[in-house]
Amino acid sequence: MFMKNFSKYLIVGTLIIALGSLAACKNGSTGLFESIAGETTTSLNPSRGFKQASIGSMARLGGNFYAAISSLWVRPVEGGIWKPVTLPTGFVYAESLVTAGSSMYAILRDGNGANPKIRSFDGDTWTDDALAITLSSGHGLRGLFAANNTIFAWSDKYDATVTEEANRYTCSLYVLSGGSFAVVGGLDNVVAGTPKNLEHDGTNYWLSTSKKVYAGSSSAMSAQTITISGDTMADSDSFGGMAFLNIGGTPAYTLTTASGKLYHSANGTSWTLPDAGNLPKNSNAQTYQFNTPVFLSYADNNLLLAPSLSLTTSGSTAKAKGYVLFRLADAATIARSTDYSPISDYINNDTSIGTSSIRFFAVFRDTPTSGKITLFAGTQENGLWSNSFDGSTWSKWLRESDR
Amino acid sequence: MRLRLLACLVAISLGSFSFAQDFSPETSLASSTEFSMFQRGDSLLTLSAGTNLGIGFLDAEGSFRSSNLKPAVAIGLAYAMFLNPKLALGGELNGYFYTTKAERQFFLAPIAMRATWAIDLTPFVITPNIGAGIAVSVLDEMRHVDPLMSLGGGFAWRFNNEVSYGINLRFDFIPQFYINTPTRNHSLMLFGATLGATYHL
Repeated sequence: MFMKNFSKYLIVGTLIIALGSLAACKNGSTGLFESIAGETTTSLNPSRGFKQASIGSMARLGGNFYAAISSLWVRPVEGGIWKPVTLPTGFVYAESLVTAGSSMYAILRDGNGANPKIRSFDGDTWTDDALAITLSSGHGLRGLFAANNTIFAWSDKYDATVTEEANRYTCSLYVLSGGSFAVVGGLDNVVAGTPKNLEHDGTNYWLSTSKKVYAGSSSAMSAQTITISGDTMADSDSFGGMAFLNIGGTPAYTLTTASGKLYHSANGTSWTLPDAGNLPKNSNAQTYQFNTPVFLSYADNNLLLAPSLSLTTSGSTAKAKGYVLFRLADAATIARSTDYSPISDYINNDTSIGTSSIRFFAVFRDTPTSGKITLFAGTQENGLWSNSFDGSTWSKWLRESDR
Repeated sequence: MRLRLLACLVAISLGSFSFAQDFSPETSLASSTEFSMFQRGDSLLTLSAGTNLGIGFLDAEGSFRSSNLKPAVAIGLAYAMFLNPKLALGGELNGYFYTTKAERQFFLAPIAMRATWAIDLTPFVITPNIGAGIAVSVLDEMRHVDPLMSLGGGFAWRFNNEVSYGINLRFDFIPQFYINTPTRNHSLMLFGATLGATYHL
């Protein structure tokens, strides 16, 4: 009797499950079986720690790649395993890696994540002393930038007592000159949000912060008036970062925003919002939250990759993750590529970083115009991914391994 | 995690061994009237656990492609009622838990009607069977329901009149159609092996 009742309940339960499943069909950008059949290996057996890491920054020095993943890691450019790099005595954490000439620079912190110092590394040894920097009053050292073989550092200060939320962050920029950092004119404790990235267009340095854009020399920069034709940036919006494009000798600039917009300019002053009525959205119709874009030009391809963060806060919808790939036919014509080619495809994108919150892209090339290209993606809690171009094809996204 | 699940299911199946021993064959009503292993109206409920392997896909052009599936944990529940001492009809629900080559989780739930032919070799029984139904597939945010055809066979030892233990092998063929984009059409072929405990209701 027990077994008969038991079987009756099981059969009824089975029917309920079956009917529930039938009611929930949902298609993706590929067929479900097609998606599995088209998979490529995306992992080289990484350890759990490396697999779930949040990646801070990357640099290339000589024949090695370096990654700041809490501590500092290194692997040969040709491939191989990631190994930890010994930091100077007293330091445990490394962040914000940049290179200039034959040196790599990093911010190192002690075991408490405090006492940040800027040290340089030649691939074998660290300099004995930290580079001297005098921060603006009340500021904390946050990061490094490198452009045109010049090293910059930036700091910020948060003042919760300031009424306007947009004005609570102030920042300063410093340039490395003669073995110590000096504040850049026009960027000493300015109300501009937090710095995002720094570019050099061949003449001027461009600093993008979350609220403003500065341009000028390495010793003095000034805030640029950003005029956007046909669009107004909301007070609550912020810049994700800037990329300088050089297509066939014609310069152009792009700025991303946290609201998923990609502004375009030929001179850095007058901006447009291409395809304004059709902001990129993911399959759930969510707009992206763009971070700093990177420009990649090789052969006849001019690509712009805009990574997206995903920050869930109370009262707002989570933003789309992954990245958006834009193709530029020329310096003035930019359009989204929805199939992710040539660097990836739907399936590889979906099975790799397509659903991750991406903190940065980093591009490394053997030479400026030829040779192997390695593209890294540092994700939030989904490890480090790479995609390389051997001169004819891309490897597609593959998770980096540490063993 | 999947190994734990498999171990748990196998333990449940084997646990029934001691449960079944409480029923003495000598005191069973069924044993006193038995002329063949099964009679019209007999019902069987089978719980099974094991593994399932992806053989491969046939793509829209009929070319064979790797399944890209790692061996799955497979669990199953089947019910059958005998129409005569040889033929039983019933239904089954299975769950296959795969990890794909790109480390995605792929769940497949075949739900089918099944016809079973019983070959009585007391105390053993061989049960070739065919089935047809649907398969519910879940991969990331994608879900799809497709037709299913299965072909299988079981070999069981009748421990007593209440319960049998056996091994089951099966082949599943699941064509997946996209009417508007036929280039997406793929068919999946699977092979499974499970251990099962069958209760004679």
